Amino acid sequence: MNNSAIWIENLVKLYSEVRAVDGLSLNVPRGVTYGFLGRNGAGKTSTIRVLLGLTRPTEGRAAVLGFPIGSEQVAILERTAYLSETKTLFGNMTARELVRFTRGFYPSWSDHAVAKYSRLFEVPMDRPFAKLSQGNRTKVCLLLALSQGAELLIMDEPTSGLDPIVVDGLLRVLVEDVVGEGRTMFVSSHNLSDVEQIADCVGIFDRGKMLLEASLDEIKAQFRRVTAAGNNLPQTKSAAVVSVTTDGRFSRYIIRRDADAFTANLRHEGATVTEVSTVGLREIFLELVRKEAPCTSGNAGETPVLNSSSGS
Amino acid sequence: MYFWKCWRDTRTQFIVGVVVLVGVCSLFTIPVARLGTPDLAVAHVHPSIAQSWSSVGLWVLSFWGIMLTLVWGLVLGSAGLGKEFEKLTADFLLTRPRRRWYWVWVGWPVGVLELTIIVLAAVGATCGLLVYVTGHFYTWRMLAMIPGLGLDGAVAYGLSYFLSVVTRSGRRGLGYATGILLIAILFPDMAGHYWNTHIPSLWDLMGAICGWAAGDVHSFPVRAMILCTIIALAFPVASQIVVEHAQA
Repeated sequence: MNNSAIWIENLVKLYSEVRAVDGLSLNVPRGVTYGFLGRNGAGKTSTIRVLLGLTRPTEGRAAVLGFPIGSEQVAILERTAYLSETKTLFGNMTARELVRFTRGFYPSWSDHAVAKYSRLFEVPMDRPFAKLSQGNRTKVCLLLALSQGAELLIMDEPTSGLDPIVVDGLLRVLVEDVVGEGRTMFVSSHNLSDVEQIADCVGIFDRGKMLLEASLDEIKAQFRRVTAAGNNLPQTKSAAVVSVTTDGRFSRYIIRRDADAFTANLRHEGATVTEVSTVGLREIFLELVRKEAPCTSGNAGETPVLNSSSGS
Repeated sequence: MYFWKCWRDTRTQFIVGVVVLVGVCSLFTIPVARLGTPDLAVAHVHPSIAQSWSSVGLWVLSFWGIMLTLVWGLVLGSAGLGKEFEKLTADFLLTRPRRRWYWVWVGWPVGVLELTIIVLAAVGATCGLLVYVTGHFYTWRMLAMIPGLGLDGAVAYGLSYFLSVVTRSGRRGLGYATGILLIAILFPDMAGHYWNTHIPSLWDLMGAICGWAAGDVHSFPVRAMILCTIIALAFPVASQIVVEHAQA
């Protein structure tokens, strides 16, 4: 717990009857970039809000940078920069005034970083926040978060509203300045390609539950998609089998490790293995969280096609 | 920094408040004085006339002063922490590394300070005008209006601040607080009129202070002031409790 940047054990968060987070356990080591992936309403923001003390957990425990949430919230907030999903700051203040307001709260605040990032992101420093475009608002929020000198950056949709040039610059900054200095990033996003560029580990989260947690190196090196045809093919998941989907005689498996052993076993049982291929983060994400019916909002989806569960 | 932010957010209301209270109190002082004393033009008047003018000043302050202080208290209270929830900026504020009580006990005094300055300016302008016109400073007791008006204003401010936090909306807080304040003012009068029952009212404090300042009552209304202070302080305490338990 003390060596982790974020440690969560059996976290449950209920909003009336809705289980926004349902028994989440998570461990983010220090110095890594963790991609927290999920659909809208999966419970990502609720988890982040619990970590930041904005809301209280219904059950479970959590610690940030070794400090338990709730009792040591000020110590957590001193060391944590948070970029919220809404990116709403005081509308009547300019970026310069927001910097002036925020600076006083953080002992490790860096004016050098303010100058650097305001130039890099081309932040309009003297226009009221309310009059800025969504992209420029995001830039101001990023400027404030990055200038805090925080040990941990928690970012909820950091690239929303940004043009590709700024996204590229931002991702480079995050990798060079934040990760390069050994700081930890916890990035919640829908944008899988952005996450794939910077993350060391990813957690795929849906309906309040963690479906998969793995490092990107592991995904690249070991995850495989296996397609097989045959009768009575195995339909059960295990530590190695992340998901199974069946269409007529064909079954498609996402295998976490030992794909060779798995295909050999299928052949041994009489199946014809038609394809073994590498699999990307996007495909894994879609396989795990895909719903039967088109989802209109949030957690409105029905039973998944894949009877997905954590493979770990 | 939050103190600066609160001042920045409410400075327009504050400046308008000073101008309106000073203007209204000054404006009503002379015409009302004219009604009671036809020889207003005399620069150095007889002490008895000066005394009647000081009564005029008390009347002006006790009516217009209290009405406008209550209004400004309500307005300033609705611009407090509750507004941050309404504008969705509470997330940003509450993720700064401070205990939740900090936001209440740094923000609440800004409004109290502004109200105090507004009241000081209004009482000072009324007294100054009377002294200028009459050449007499008849009674220093008029200055007791300052804590009286200040406390009444602080009660209205605290009520509006608290209800804005509870409802998470400055506008709703202002609406509810205005309604409650109207009931608190009108109901005791109705009860006295129709049922001959005395129910404490916000007017009581000002009435007692006016009576004391005019020399009609000998004892200073210490109990009423203490009670008003307790009520005024209860609101930020209650707001703190709400904010500490709030799930933003």
